Amino acid sequence: MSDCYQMWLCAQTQNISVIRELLAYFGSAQEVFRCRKEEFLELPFLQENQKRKLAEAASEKVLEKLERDRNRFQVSFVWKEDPEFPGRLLSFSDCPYGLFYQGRLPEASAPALAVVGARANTFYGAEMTRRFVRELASYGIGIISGLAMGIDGIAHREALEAEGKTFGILGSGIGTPYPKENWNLYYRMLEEGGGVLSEYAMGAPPLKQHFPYRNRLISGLSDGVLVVEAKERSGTMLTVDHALQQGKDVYVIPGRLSDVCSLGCNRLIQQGAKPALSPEELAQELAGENKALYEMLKKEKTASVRKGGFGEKNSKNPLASDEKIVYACLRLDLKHFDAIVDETGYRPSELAGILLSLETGGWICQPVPNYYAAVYQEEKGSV
Amino acid sequence: MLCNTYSFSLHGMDALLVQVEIDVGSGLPGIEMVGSLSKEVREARERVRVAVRNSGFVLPARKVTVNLSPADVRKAGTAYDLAIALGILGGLAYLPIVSFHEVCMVGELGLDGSVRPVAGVLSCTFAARERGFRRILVPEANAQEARVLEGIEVCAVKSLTQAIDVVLEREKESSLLPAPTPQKSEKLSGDFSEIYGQHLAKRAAEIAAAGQHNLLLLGPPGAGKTMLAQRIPGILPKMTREEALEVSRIYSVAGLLPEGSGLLFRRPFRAPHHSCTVQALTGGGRDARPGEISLATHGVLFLDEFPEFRRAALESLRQPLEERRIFISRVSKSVQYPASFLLVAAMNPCPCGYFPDRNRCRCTDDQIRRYRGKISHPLMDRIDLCVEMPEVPFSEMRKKKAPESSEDIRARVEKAAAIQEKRYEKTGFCFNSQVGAMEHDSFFPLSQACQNVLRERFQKNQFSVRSYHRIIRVARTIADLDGAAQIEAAHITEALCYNRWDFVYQMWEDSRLYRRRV
Repeated sequence: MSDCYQMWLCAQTQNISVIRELLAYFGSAQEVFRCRKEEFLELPFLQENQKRKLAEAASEKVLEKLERDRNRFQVSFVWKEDPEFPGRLLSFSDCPYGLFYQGRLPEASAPALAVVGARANTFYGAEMTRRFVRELASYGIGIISGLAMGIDGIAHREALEAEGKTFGILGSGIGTPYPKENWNLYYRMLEEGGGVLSEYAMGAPPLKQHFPYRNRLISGLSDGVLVVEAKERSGTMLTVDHALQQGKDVYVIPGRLSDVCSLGCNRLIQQGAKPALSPEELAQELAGENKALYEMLKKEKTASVRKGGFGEKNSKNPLASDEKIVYACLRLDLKHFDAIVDETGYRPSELAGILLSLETGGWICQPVPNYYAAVYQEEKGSV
Repeated sequence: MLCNTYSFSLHGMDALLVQVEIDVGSGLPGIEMVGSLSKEVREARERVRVAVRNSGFVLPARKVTVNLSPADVRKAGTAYDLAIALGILGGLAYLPIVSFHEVCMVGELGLDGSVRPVAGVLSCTFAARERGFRRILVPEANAQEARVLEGIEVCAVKSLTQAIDVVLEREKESSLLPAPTPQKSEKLSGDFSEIYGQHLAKRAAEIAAAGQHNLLLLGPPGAGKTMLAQRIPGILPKMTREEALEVSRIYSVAGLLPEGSGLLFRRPFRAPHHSCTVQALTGGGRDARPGEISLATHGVLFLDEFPEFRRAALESLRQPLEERRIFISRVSKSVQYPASFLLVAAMNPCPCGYFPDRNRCRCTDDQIRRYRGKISHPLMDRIDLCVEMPEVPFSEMRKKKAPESSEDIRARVEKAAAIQEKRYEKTGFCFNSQVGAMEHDSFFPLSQACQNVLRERFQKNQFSVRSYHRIIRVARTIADLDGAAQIEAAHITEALCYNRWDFVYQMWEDSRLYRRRV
């Protein structure tokens, strides 16, 4: 393989400045590999441990193993100078020299949105992610996230449900996806036209310092970042910092002031981020110069009116009066059975029946046993 | 001279007749004891020798041989002291041998000749009556428990001298008191009227009590899980005499019967700490003593911090939960104890305890799943009811109107229990929770409407077959509480509220949406 030396170099270190110095000194990745061991030890710009590491790694054995792993995991490698390399990244000073990936790379022409948020999310956050991603992905906007628990996973899943494109950026090497709960999602993304990218070589462990570092790729590969739920000090806020440095737009889903999970979001709005109030508006913002998407949105607008909310306006199956009373006291935050009993005054045995029929009708759901929340109702009225 | 007296050896819940044979003959002076004896029985030699001397008898320099027969059964405990002492006095011709005819005795001796309480007197009295003994001598402290049985004379003795008087029938009146009238209603600690809020959990407790369904309470610290569990014995139906007798026997065998108490009419409430060992829970040890599950028979076994129990201890509950009794096999013996208890377990919803309040809980899905995974599926299959308890808001506590009292709830529970008793006449079952999957169709016929409700839910949520049966069992109990002859759709819908554990625990992700691929 022609790019095996470049791959070898990228597998050794993700430190951009080290690779830059090495390439400047030796000329090419192949020359770095061919260099004698003693020569590494004399390089002035390397630290002691880096010298030793490189000297040890510069062997045919390591190279062979990399090649083997590449075939085993069906991984592709793209070098910075290759034409397929995602163009969005090239302008940044900390652009990685190479990327390992499975599936596809995000297309340069299609708009992409990074969706990031808390791992320990609330039902509100989940529901909002679903609502935004479902719609944005159906317009052909690529959804980029970090394949983590919580909002990340929901965003990927919802994009797949909407038959959109979605790309995950790993903080570990390909072949050791983390967290393992999202393995199914990972394979599904590969099968359904998405891709999984990493700047770490196959089998690299998910070290905790990798994750904040890979966040720059999440924001870098997209045209804007949508923050769904974030605590004031969190990994999500690091992604936002990267996005701002890279000059990307940051959109935020506002939350309640009493919710710890939304504190970061509200803070961002205070600092000037744009509140995302509806998926259509966000799509139009993203469309910007993208003519094709703009046309599509225009067509969509005339074809159907997408509206939603809480309530039973225009519903074909109106609710019974009992159901109305119960439904009226439910929102997007979880409410325990007992709280509904206290509010409505129904006996538990009665209330169980009412809740079940509401649940069967798709009006409410029970995300946690015995806790209920209203489901956002999407209305599709034709013109 | 040879003299025989009778005593009992405990073998689980039963007492085995032990013949104490005493021979006084020539040879090296001293007392020799044989018959597969444990250390404490062997030590009886010294206790008996001193007690007899201090009771005013002189032991001549003769060789006394004591054999406890059957000689191949290992004997433990101190209950033989009295029989040995009286036997020696008989062998030395201080007492006529004929006076031991149809008399048996249990009791430990003090050096001053006093008779001290022993464990298992109730079982011994039981066995004595069955064996056709006319009278039994028991320590005075154990007299009340022995007297609950009719058809045998129970003589309470304080000291060896008094025992001799009884045997010689010199003293009859004082030791032969009439059987005490059992104290029917003992005051229980706590009432349901003290629990504000928690409507769902209280309803679940009522259903659990009515149908003997095992119950799991999930909730943050301070939600009142322990408070609720402690009050469940108070809403169980009043104990029948047979139940009380069985419970008292277990407590008697375990030596846990309070001194001077007769039958226990209060439903047991056992709450072992989560550091509890398998043996402590199921019973065992060298003497195969009853464990917590047997001590909780006809009452409530409350396991707080359920996932913190050792895995082995929890898994050991599986068989007794099914069979309602436990076999304990040890090298020396294997015994059977009843273990028909209502399991009430309590746990936090996540390691930190506050899920789903995301303002306080930062546990990840994985942590929550792992925490809940400590309870195995086979064990969860045996728990019919599962409710989440929220924290009670302050406004609820300030409500003027007091919630329903235990008395009112118990009235409903007793009615439901009576209906079940009638339904299961001559079938070997007592409660809805005991009906196996095979008998479901015959006992719980479902109307078309019920089947529709169930089918709809099953298509949505992928329940297991076991949970299907569980829902129907619980629905039957709800119907019984309602006094309904047939299970109605409303009963099924309510039962569905208590059966959410089955979900693959995907916190916010609606499993039905993402089931397309696995």
